[in-house]
Amino acid sequence: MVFCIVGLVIFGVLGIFSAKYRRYFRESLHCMKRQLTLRPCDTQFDQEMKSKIAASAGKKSERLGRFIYKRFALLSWIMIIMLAASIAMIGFGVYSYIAFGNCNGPDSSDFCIFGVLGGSVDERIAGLKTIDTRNGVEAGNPKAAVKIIEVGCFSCPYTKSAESLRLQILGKYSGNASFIFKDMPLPSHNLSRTLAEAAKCANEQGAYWEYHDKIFEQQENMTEQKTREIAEEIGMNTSQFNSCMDSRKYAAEVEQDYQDGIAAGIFATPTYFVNGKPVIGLRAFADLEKIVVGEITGQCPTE
Amino acid sequence: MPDGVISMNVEKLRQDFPVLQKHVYLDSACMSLKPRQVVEAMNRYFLEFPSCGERSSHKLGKMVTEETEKAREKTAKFINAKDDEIIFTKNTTEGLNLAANSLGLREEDVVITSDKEHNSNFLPWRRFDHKIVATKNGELDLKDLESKISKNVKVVAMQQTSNIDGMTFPIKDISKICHDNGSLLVVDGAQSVPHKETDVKKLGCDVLAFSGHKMLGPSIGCVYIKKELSEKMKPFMVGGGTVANVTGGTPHFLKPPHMFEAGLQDYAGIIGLGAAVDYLGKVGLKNIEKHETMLNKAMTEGIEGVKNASILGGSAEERGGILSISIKGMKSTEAAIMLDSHGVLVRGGHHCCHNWFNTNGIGGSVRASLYLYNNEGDAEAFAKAVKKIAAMT
Repeated sequence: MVFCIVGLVIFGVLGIFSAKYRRYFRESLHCMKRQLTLRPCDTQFDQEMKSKIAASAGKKSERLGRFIYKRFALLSWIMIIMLAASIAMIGFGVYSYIAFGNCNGPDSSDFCIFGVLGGSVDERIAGLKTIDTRNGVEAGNPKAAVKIIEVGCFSCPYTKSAESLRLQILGKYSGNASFIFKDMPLPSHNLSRTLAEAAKCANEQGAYWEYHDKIFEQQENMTEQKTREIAEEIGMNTSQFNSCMDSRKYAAEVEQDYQDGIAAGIFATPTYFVNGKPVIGLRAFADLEKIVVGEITGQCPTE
Repeated sequence: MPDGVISMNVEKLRQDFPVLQKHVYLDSACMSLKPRQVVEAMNRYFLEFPSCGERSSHKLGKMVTEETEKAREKTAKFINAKDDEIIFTKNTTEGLNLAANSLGLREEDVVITSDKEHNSNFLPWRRFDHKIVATKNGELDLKDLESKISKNVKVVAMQQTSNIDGMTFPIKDISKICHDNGSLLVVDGAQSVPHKETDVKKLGCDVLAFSGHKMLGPSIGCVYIKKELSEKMKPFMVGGGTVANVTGGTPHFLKPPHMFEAGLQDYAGIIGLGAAVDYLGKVGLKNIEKHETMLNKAMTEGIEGVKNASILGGSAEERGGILSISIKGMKSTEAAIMLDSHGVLVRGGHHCCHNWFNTNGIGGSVRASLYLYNNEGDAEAFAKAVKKIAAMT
């Protein structure tokens, strides 16, 4: 039965972690071998799985249980197709990572867990150092007790999603917290360096945060031409801005930011440093707030 | 402890079976649960006198011999036999194989069985001239038996109660047919001895095999062989414990039952069987039979009208403690697994009676088998779960 193939993969993986699944793995392997040699499966593995799954579903909904029981072969085929698709996607991810340094392909700006550096996530978290804040742009009270450094990339969708955190923290703890945005233009993301340079050009004219917000607003449709249109839209001196962009005045500074990120061990954006303590990835507001409040009150939160 | 022979306090005796707190156990035809008293009796052997019986003359050895002989005495009394007619075996299968191998049969001798026998009372007889008597609606066709019996028939081997559907054969009538013809009657009592009062004299059988593990005891078996018969038989398993002496290479066998009990015995199992017999005796076999029939009726009524479910065998009264069903459109093993998911433990499949299922074109059955510790809640849970799973087809 087709479910033997599904079982082989599923229980093969689960069997690595728990011995109780190894019996099922052996049975599905035996069953598949027999199927491949055109003999019927004699372990009742497929019957056992079908019955258990249908009975569990039937407890919640009789109709669902009946549907699974009657259409188990069809569902097994669907699972096989999904399994094959998953394996193909994993293969594509591994190939893309090896070939382009990004699991999602050369032109994608989606998050890749392997990020900039190699090594396991745990090792990389342990290896994080507080990033140099030079070239960073600060919002909020510069004398605040809590300094939050956000290391982000203008092309990164997760950095975009994290924008609301900055606004909420600054709104709620304006006197006590400040935010410094430090560029980490990920090489796998389109226009990441161009946008970082554009934001620095906007900073020359005191329009950094307004420009920063506009970039994220239009992130999905961003082009180089758009960087100039935004400058005009928010009333900047466009000739100064265009000249800044054309000369690539801040290219070296953006490279320096990137190298600072590498030196700090950054492997995902956004990464926060709350008074030097690292917080990796997009978090819920409550999580970040808990850490900020802990810093304000001097009580370390237990995560 | 159970109340006594007058009435059964099921809820009280259920406390002796801790497993029942977690499960609806309806697979006693395969393996019964064991009460604390049986486990404690066995533990006594392991903790107080874990030694050899019948051999060592030290204190512990004597205790083992004394306790195992007490168990033999209790077991003999349980089926109205003499002590030396009781032979301990591994299980019913070994008891029936002992009969097949030690009765001195030749290959050309005719042996008759029913078509519904368990493999253990079917396969041992295949090497003789094996004739099969048909069953109809679970009942043995006595006319067919009479038509097949002849002077060449040395043995008639029949179950008393079927493990498929719980139907009971009229052993007394069969015995008369056998003995009028001069044939021996070997009875598979695995499903009857644990549930019905058994008197080997009244039944008129020459051999009766049964299992301890189906009657609250541990995994041990027992075979009754009529004394006049066993004295003429030769053991098929020989070795230590079967002989009084060996001279010039010739064994001088002990008298039955010891000549059939080769090697060291499962002393804890024998003692456990004795405790199980005590327990059953206190509850009363009549009470147990009545209780099982009452629950079987409740289960039968509970699944009445369930789409696609059909019951094997006759009425609940005839089926005693067994309710076997087949559900159209669902394999019996699937149904058993689904019932397990609903917390009801039953058995699905051919129940070691492949020949009968294959001959009748039935794929298998889901068998619920009751015992003294089951209650109305168990019967309700079974019926409710069967309704649910049958609705899936």
